[in-house]
Amino acid sequence: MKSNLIDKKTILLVDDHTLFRKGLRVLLKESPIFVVVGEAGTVCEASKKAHELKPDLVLMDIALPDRSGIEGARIILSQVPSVKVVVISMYSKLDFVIKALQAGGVGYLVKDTTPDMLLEALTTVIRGHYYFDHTILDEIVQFLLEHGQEEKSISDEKYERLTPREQEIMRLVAQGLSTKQIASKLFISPKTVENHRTKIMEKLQLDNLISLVKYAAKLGIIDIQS
Amino acid sequence: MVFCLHPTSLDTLGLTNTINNLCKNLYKIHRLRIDFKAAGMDSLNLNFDVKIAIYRLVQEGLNNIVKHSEATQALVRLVYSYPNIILRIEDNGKGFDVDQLTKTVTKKGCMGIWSMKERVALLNGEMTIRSVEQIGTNIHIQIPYYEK
Repeated sequence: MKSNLIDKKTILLVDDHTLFRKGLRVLLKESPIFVVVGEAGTVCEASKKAHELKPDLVLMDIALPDRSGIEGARIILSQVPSVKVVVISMYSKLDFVIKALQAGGVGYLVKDTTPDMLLEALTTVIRGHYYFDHTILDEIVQFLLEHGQEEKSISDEKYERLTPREQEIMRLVAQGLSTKQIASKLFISPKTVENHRTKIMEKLQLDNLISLVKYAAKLGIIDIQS
Repeated sequence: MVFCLHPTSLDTLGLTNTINNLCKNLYKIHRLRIDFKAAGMDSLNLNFDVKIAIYRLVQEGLNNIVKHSEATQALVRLVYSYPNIILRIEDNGKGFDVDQLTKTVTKKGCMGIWSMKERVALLNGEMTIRSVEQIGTNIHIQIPYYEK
């Protein structure tokens, strides 16, 4: 079975509307280049399937029931860094496009796109290029003209990698709570807190408690004056 | 500050970019240097009401600095640390007596602080003000926010 697919690029479809996924599947069935290998209706499901199937491409909706597709893209890319994520959304909003790019996405399509444009987008990204829906190109150009000279990012990218639980534990650690105190406050075991702490330090590339406290103060999570 | 009654860029550019633009505009107009940083906000799917409320809080906080503080520098931090959105607005201005201001807030105007407090209360949040004369003012706002 694998031999039939060997030259085709594999796609995971992520959208909570079954009918939309089925429609895409029918459309891509005719393609000599792509083959749909899996479908998911939530970010959680998509993350499991991406890990299991290691697809070449993920076509990802934004409005998903458990988490946003933007966050989904970030999670999947941390598991399968080689995957190309194309976001497909109802909305042609520039902040979604920016967020999709910041999350590691390489393409952005609006759902009322034509089948030909969808195939063009998939072919473009698989060749290693970015693709943006034509309806949002004008806005992107305008944005670049206005903001192209900006020297520094206002968002802290390392912090964006933390899960909500890790954010919470990071704050409590920075506030000076011990592992035992955090465990009791969050109703989890001290071992789990320790595991989270290790992951937090890895993700933030910090190596001791003092650097964590300084980092939290710099971001404004804690106030060292109080 | 009547301009920007409805910052449409909240829709197109998002909250952090719109606040960044506001900071740049205040520097252009009032030469107030504002160090703005955000963290953890990009992965949130904030609804428009929350976005506009946070934008207004920053706008009002910075307007107060421009109008009353004589500060030359300000700092704005907007961070999501589950389960709260944390907003800090600080300045190096002349400071004020917080207790005195709290007493006069409803009698003598001081609408900026009053409306900030109201806005925070509507979001079930908490706002604390710490100010030291000739050192500056620090406003800390915490708003509970859970993603669906």
